Amino acid sequence: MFGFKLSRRGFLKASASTAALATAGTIGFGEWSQQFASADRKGNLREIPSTCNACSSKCGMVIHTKNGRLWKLTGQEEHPYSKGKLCARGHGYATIAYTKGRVTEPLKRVGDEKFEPISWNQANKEIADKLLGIIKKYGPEAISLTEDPRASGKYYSPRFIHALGSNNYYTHHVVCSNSRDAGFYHTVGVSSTSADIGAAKYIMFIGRSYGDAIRPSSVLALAEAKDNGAKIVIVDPRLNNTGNLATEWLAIRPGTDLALVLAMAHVVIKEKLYDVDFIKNHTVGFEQFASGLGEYTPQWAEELTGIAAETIIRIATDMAKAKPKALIEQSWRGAFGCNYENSTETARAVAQFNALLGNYNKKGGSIIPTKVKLGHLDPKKHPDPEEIKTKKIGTEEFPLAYEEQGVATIVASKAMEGKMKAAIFNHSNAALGYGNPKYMKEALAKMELVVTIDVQMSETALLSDYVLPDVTYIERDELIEELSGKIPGITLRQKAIEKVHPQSKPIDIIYKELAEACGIGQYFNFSLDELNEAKLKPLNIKLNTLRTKGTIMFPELEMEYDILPELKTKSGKIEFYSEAFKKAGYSPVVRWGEPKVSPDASSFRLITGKQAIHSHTQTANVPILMQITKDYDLERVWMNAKRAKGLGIKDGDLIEVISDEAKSKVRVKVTERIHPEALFVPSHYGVTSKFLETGKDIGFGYMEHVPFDFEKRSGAGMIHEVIVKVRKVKA
Amino acid sequence: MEQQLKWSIANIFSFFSGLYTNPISWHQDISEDKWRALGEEIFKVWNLSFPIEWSSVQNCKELNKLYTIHFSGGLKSSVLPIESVYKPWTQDRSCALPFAKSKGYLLGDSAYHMFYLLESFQIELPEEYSNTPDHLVILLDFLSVLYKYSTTSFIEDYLIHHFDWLRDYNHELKKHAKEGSFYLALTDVLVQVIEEEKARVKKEMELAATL
Repeated sequence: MFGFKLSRRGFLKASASTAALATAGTIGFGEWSQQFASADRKGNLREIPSTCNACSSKCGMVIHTKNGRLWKLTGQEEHPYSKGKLCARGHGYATIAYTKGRVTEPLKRVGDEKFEPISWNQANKEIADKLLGIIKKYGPEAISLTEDPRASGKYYSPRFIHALGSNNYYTHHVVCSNSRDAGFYHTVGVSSTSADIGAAKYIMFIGRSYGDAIRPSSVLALAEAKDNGAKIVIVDPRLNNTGNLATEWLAIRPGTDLALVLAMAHVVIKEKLYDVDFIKNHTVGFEQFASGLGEYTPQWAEELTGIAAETIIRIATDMAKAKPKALIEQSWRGAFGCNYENSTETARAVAQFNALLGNYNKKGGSIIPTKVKLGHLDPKKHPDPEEIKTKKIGTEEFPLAYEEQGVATIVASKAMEGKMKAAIFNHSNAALGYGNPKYMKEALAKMELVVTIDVQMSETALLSDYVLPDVTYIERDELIEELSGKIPGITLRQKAIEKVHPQSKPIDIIYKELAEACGIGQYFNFSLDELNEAKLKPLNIKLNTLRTKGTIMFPELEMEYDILPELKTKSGKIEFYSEAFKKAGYSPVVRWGEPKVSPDASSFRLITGKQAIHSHTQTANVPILMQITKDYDLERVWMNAKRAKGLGIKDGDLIEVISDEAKSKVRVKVTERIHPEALFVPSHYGVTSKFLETGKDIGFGYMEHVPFDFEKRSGAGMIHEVIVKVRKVKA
Repeated sequence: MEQQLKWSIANIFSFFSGLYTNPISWHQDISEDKWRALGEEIFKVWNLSFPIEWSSVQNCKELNKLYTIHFSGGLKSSVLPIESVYKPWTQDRSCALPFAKSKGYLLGDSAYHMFYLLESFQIELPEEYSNTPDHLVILLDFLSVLYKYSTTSFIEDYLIHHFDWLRDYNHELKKHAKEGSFYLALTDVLVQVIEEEKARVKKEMELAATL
């Protein structure tokens, strides 16, 4: 007889009597699976209100589970973003919890792109030792933390880095909305307004596409506006997927949106079509602004934008006639979030044009969002980290940037200078998405410590010394999220399933344990539930009530139309003239500025944008979403039909895209739906991590071609300042 | 099935289960004699050769490296030996998820059947496998339990429904593992052993039916 065993732990222990009984009463797989499928009859269905994580909108979703497992997803009716609906991306991304490519345990780099699992205790100890060593040697300003923030991250991440004595907390906005945010913040006192789309009569979108970056309520509101007869104008070098709701597409020459807005302002002011009372009561600097617009005629703008002067006059006039139910939608990344050298000025001009229409806090206009006031932890029991005297790195270089978000890519440039020594990335693929990947790789290699917290081995994780496994968003509770808007509210992301991988942890726990290892655990001496209860205290709402409802809105706090509160600008009013810009060395009133680079007859400007089924590159490794890409060849670049003909390129041909930074091969979609100067590449492709097998080598990453750079006002990445040439290649 | 044979097979599957755990946890217990005994026992039960040389098991560090490469989630060349990954996620027609019938996902129906079986047998899962009850380590160890305490008919049903993915797994492993690597050789043997055992059990059941 084979008379030995391995003396490992006996995993499964059963007794003879129990096994005999079980054998008699246990059914086989066939019968079991029928019973399992009909388990709803036994009351094993649960509905957990939570929030999506497939994009930054974080729409309200209801996670339906059956027998403890994900079973169905629906949109939360009460949540203002979802209104009972979820987009395809929302449905698809939830599968990430069960995919086989997740990081399942803490990893330590042991060679180039080589990792070994280590225990949490060991990982925390080694990370803490390195962080404290760097702080001791170079000071706390040599460490940083960057994230694409979610509710818990917004609280825990800055608290962690502050507790270590550093102010260097950054967000992804450097390649999202830094320019828009800086422009709006210094004009209207908030980094973003919202828009009363459903009630608007005239809506202009500049680069923004509700049909491609889907928030269901936005699409519903736009459909409502269209049903009500609203004019909807899309200003975009590409006819995007909001086109089917639009009344007009202006195929603007990329990088010239500022000229269009300035010329429209010129028309409105020249024809005295602006809201005189609003300008008088709620703005400063109008005269200086108006006096500088003389040269920005529609004819001047026609030369730059390619949009006929008559069209500019007609649209400006019609928008002014429809005021205050007319607006230029505030956008996120769109065409001026982080795209061009002139994007911050475009953002200012957009906010100011809306002021000319007097549409702020008017029905059908721009809305200054309201929020509820949440509570805080008892500072005696749970002290905040001490105030830090040193400034966040980057505030000196970019004083106009929205400080809360900072300029994340300064971490890389300071690393190149040898001044930044440690970087922590939470839910952030900065190495692929924030700056030129070659530059980012070199910069990260120069640091003494790089840590990534993620669910998958992103390109940033690959360049890290340690990778800590996050749980997915359906496996975790989070901090209460504030919903700002016309009606404020609160919402809660909740754990719907038990974590699939036992060693993965949510970030509130990751930070708490890492803080303890760093000797700053006193700043994390509370549970997430205690923090949430403290947040809810002033609202007199119990955490269990919020858990049951998922989202609670406060209609009694709804903003009142026609009342504009004092703004957070220096003057308390909307600023056509900015002292802050003047102090920073820029024109206090908006002036035209050329994009940094421009294509010639033989080249293209590489532009990018979203597709409704993906979110950055975070969804590229989700098989069912990537399958849609493959089924419809969505990774192709778009090229204007006339330009393609001139180059002898046909639809579906393989081409090489060549810039000063990179060469990429990709198939081409030849279409009339794009401006001749532009070559459009969707922003979700070009995954290079060998660990992400589903997404790897599909399409190319536009950031490969973007030179590492900063927009001088906001610090944004200027992701459209890229000139490329193309050539047909053999397949 | 005679009791001695059942216990012998139980021990072999328990041994196989152990070999798919982290080598650090078992390597100190292994010796050339034991390794040879395993091969002899496999030959005795199924008339199968056991071509894995003792030399390929000797180096714990090397084995651990291979184990990390193949079985640590999220790493390149990870080929998780988990049943759910190789089967459609669920047979539940009411499941509205877009990937319901797709392969490649954890915690599929087979995992839930294992939860059910383990609960019925009052067996607690170790923490590291708490949500992967259909990991090969658990499947094999539970099979070993069945040989000790359960009926041949139960074993047959279990073998049919929970080991029909092994060839797909082996195929996937071949794409990532170097030829001759320990885990590839081990899985080759396991696939053969399971097939032979299925056939043997089937024959035994047919014989029993005629009596």
